[in-house]
Amino acid sequence: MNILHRQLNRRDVLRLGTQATASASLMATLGSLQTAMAASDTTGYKALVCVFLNGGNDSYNWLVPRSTAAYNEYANSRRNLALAKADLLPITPSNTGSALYGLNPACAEMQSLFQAGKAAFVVNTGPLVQPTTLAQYQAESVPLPYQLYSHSDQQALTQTCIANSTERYGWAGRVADLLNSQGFRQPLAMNVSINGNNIYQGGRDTVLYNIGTDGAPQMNIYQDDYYRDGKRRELFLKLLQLSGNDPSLLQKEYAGTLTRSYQTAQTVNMALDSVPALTTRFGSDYLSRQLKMAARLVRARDALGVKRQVFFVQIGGWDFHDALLTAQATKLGELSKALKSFQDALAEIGAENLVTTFVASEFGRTLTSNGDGTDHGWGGHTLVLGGAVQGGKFYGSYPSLAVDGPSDTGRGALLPGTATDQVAATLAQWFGVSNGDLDTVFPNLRNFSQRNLGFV
Amino acid sequence: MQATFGPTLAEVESLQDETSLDAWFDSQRAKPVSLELPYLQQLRADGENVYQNQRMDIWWRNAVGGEDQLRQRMAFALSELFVVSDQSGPLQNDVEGLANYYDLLARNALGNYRTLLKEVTLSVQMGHYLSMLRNQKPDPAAGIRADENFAREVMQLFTIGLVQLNLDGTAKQDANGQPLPTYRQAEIEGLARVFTGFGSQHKTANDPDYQFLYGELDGLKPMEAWQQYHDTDAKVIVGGALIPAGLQAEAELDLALDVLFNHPNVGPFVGRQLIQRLVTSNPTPAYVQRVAATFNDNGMGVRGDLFAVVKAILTDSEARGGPVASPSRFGKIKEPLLRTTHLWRFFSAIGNNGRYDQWNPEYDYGQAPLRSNSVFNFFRPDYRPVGALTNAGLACPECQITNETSITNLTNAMDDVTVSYRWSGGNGRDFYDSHTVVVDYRPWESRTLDANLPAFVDDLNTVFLGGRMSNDYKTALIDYVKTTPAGDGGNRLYDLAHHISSSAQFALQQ
Repeated sequence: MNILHRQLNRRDVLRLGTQATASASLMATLGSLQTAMAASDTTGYKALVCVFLNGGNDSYNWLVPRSTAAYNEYANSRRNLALAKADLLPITPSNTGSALYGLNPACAEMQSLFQAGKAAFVVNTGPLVQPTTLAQYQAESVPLPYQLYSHSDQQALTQTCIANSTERYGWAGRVADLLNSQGFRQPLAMNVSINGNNIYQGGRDTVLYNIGTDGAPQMNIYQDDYYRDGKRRELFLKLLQLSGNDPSLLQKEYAGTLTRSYQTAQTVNMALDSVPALTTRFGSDYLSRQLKMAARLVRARDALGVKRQVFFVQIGGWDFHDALLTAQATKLGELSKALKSFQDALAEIGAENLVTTFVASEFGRTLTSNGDGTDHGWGGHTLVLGGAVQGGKFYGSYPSLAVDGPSDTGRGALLPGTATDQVAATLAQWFGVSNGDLDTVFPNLRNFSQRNLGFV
Repeated sequence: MQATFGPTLAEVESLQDETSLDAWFDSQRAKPVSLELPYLQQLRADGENVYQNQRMDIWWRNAVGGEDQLRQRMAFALSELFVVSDQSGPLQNDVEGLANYYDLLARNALGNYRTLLKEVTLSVQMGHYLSMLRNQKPDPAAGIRADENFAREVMQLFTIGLVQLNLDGTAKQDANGQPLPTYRQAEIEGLARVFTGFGSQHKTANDPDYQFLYGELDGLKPMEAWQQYHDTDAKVIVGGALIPAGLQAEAELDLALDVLFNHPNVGPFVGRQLIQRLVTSNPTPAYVQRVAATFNDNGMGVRGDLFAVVKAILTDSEARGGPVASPSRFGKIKEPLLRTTHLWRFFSAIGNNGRYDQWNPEYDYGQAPLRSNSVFNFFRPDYRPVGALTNAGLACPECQITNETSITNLTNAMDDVTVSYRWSGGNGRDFYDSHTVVVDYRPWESRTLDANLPAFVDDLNTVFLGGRMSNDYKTALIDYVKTTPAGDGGNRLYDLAHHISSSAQFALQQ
């Protein structure tokens, strides 16, 4: 791999930002330019943000029915884990008729975003291979997702949106592959993770770029004075170059990451520093810091020379086998405040309509209690936010919460009514993927009649 | 490097023939166990407030200085299999409990897997972490089921995994080529009911309901069985095994653990992961099969003998001949913590205050002992970075915590360890604050004189790169070092140590 033997300066950043084919390493894309028709729309700037709740959010204590019969059904299923009706924060979806709903009391900011039409719920989503009825599930007469209820597998299925495959290319990775195959190029990888490596953003031909919450850490070897006028850096680069002669594929992988990190950090940091700091206040929790970095990168989009970005952020601690009521309230409160700060920051920089955020988790949880918590379920809700979102609505149908009811696969683990593929395809189409290309990215989408859920 | 937290020159030289290798294994097993808990208890007795920081101190101390290197290395590997974490609420302040848990792993690291499995299962820390503690029998009237958390993960992560395995670790497939699952949801629910009725050791006759749920817990003792909260109905668990009705809680737990322990998956499932932790990320099926066979029978009819297993792993022809037989695929990326222990062992590093006050290694290293974000450890055994490794069908677990951000944090940390904090002729220890861990370059200074450099670099090659240093690498290193002032050995040493430790070549273990 070619290594830049010099520091990048501001002019380089700007130049790289406007060149169609910048340095291959900064492209962070692999594979050759193909001559496919550029069917996707990559004009203007758009970004998707995936907020992943690692562990399996208990969706049915997040968004709760308030109509009398539906609430009673909920309370009867949840027993000692039911939230009091009076404590719920009312929301009024514009498309659910007379049915009433409320949010977990920790979600005040989410409530105001929803009521302001800046957020919507896609209810009871989950991995599916094809539309599946309870009878089909019970009879196993249709293909079912692999290894339901396992954290690691359902995280993968949620992030790949190919529920009957053990391949581990994420759907954002496949979108990047598609755009790459259509000739789309920009100086920095489309997929940027602020939470380390993940399945969601890994493509067959494209890699993701990782950044920290404070920016890209720079190697001490950048410091010329400290490093004997660059002589130490020269040796570092020489040894890195020599590693290319060694046969080990694992070492090559490591060297590739080391090279990318070295080559990209200063460029990215200079771009980040070239735009004004955000005045919106973010919390000091990890999710807030990740989302703040996403907002900073959006603000620096022109300096980075990017038109399409997908950000991945994540928080753990959602595996509520124990102490559901208190633990989830803490987590949801953190999430609610962080999302509000993020939307405020986007408004501050005038990018509200350019950025769509979705909040996903590997599975919903059982409606039934295991004492003071819940176990691994299946269907759960996806929250979508942003100026482009047709907010204040529910998409998909809110399921019966009756144990042994029409959606219960057992223990109150609900059969999803909407596939994660449909949610993702809707987001991807907004992002610029053409209707025709959706089937390339989402091979199971053709199994579902509704290809676009219309929330954005 | 496969067997320790980093070899020293003397160790490398003393292990050149098989007799000495055999003797080494036996002597390692016989060495007293380096423990964490007594150290922390002593600090507390001396009036010190004990936090997780001190647990990190003793972990480094045992890794860098413990004479029972093989045992400690296995304990660390097991801590990434039987994961508990101080990131979990109830364990944040349970410093001694976590130290005792680590000691439990160390004590059993060369013992029997079945014993280890039970001690882990009944430990208060695992009870907290996977919510088996105070798990009660179902109460249908209240709509309450048994908690499935431990039942699921003990199978998925600690014993048998998700799919049925051949002895060589490959998945058994159905007629359509799909892997066969090991268990179904109903069997998790059966096993969940086995793990009911374990709680506080503080059993009193009055108000047992309160005592079971809230009674005082001794984190250093196993959870106790409370029969009245145990589900005594019959259960069907993995493979259709029947647990009959009416058993005592602990007898039933033993029966269920026997079923798990005797499942044919355990040998290949656990064996493969231990190979990955110690030797190579992508063992051949034949290698896994040899190790799994040793797990199944140590040669004397004993199943689960971890000493025999680790010896089989480390003395296997693939472990010894891999670099030559398969240089492109063999080996692993070294875990970040182990890169530092490697340097510190060689250069006899310790803090000015006699401590290892590296309290938050997770910031720079992406890992710290018993500090994972979830029971799925810092990385998964089957993690494959997309691109070349996926295309070649190669796993790289440690790559899951290797990215553009972490790799530079780690490279800079290697810089700190080798460059910034050193003890050389020119800089006395007093120069640094008491917490700084300082490497001692003094014994090696004369070897950095121009005439001695080539031989010294050869030794560094042996110790740090396992002899993989190319001539070009050596030349580049020596040529550069010769441009720096001679007679200032400390500076030459940190240049050598820093450049080797920050190179991609050092990140690989072959």
